[in-house]
Amino acid sequence: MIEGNPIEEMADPQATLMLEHINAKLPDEEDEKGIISERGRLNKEGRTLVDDVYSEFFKRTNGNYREVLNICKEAESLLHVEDTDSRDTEMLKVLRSVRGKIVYHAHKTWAEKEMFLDKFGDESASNIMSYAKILKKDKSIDIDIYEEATRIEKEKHQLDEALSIENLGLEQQNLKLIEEDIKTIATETPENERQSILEGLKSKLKAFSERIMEPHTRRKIVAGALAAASITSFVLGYISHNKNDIKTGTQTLAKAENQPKNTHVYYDSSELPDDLYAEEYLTGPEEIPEVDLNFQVIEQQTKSPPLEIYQEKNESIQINEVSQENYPPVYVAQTFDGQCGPASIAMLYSTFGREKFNVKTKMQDITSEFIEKKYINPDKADIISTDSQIIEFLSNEGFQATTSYEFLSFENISKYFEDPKNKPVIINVNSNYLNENTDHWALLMGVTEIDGRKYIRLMDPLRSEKGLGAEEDIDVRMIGMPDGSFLFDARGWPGVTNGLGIFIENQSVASKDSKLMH
Amino acid sequence: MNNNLQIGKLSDKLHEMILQDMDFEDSEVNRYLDNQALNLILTTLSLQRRLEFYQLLGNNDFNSAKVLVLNDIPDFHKKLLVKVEDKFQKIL
Repeated sequence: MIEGNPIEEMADPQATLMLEHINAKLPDEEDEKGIISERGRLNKEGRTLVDDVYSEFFKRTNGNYREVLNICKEAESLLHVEDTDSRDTEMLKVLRSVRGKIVYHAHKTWAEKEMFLDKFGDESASNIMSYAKILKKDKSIDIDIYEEATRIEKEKHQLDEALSIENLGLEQQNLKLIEEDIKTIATETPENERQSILEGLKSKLKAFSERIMEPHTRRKIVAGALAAASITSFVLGYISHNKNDIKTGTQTLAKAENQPKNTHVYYDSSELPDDLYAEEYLTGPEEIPEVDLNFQVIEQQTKSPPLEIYQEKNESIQINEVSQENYPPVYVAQTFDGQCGPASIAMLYSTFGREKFNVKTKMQDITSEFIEKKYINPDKADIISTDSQIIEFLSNEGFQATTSYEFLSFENISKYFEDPKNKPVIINVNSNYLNENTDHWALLMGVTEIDGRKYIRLMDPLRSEKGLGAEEDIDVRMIGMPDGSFLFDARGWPGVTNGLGIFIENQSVASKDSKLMH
Repeated sequence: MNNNLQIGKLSDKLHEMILQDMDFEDSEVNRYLDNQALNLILTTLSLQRRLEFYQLLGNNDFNSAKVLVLNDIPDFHKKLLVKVEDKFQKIL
């Protein structure tokens, strides 16, 4: 490895340390298993070692991606793979794997920060690299992805430090309060016994905190506080300079060929394929390699913690849209899976129709009619009507409509609502607004902007603030409104294009359309 | 810390990382929630009720302790949220 060569002995101590670290963790040479499989790839033990080296040196460098990358390169240059008696070939394999991992995580961290990628994208290495490449191209200035990703890690580290200081202060304050309480009730008790009572109480309090706040409640509180902190920074205008970034990124990724696969994927380091460490990655940190890698894809529903707190916060949000006084949204929650269609139409009628209805009664009436006409299959939550049947149905209430299957990218939605004459759209997507299994209806109300950040406004019979009876969560991409509608952050919009859009062309709506969304 | 963090610090990625941290019991964010919750209890309950609270904990009767807290501090979780929100806005 590095013995006996004075030049190599002058090497970066971190690189030497990395090699020693790997060497110490390699299985004994006598161990038949080793870290390389018969096919010449890293086996499970090898991948565990890679994870260990990556974590150790990522920590040592305070989350500095480029520094770890450079240490790896330096360490690699110290190896003598031609020496068949050494274990340098195994070490080289580990080092290259660590490098691949750094490249992947730096790009993933950066791409996620830019695009809400994790909320709807495929996190396979090839997809991450493609995204990063597209996003990087979109930027008018040069971006060092490794520095950007390191900055994000640093922010997290700083936040942890700030919380740590807060924790110290709170712990001291709480301890003092409890000590005083104990003194009050145990005035005659010796100090050592009081201390013993205190210690016992501390362990009980720890157990109690798990009872008073279950995991989902904890997540709600933190997610809510983070959302509020974000909104505050919007209001203060801190991020207005990012407007253009959001626009260009979204527009490029909205193109069909650039769209993410609609799977929700979690990265599992134990499944890291050896392909990731291919030579293509090693051409230099500035390049985003053109490789097609097969990561394990685990499909999962997008599910974020429900937030109960938006209603209060909304009062402080300045929404740059035309008042809806003449068209206060009339929300109704569906009561069974197959009722989203009738509920969406009932909301449309009640909000924009000529006559005022009781929205729940209207939904039930439409449901009965849909079942009778076999437009829905209530057992399977399927909408089985044809487009022309729906258009005909809407016309009975005076709503003329047209349809399109190439509409629902944010770019298209934004463009559509730029024309104040355009009306709300009934959309047929899935319950997470993705292309797949498009069997869910909701009402697309318009596009709005809060201090530079764009939002799509929806009324979804399956998703609303708690208390209105809907089942799906308002997740971190959404801001629930007291009227039952919600705002969906355009950056997190899945960018579907083949969901059905039913465009309303109704005279009674047209007469007041200037009061709708801008 | 306020001045150290750059503009755009409240990135979605940072949010995600903080929420991911919640999976770890001893993470700073979980510790913070525990400490803030306890602080809310200790500074809101009367001495008499605090003593009852300690008594229930001593008897491992966590459910009754929880009922006591939630009864005596209406909207406990909302109040906690407000405290966490205030702090996040200051330190983020």
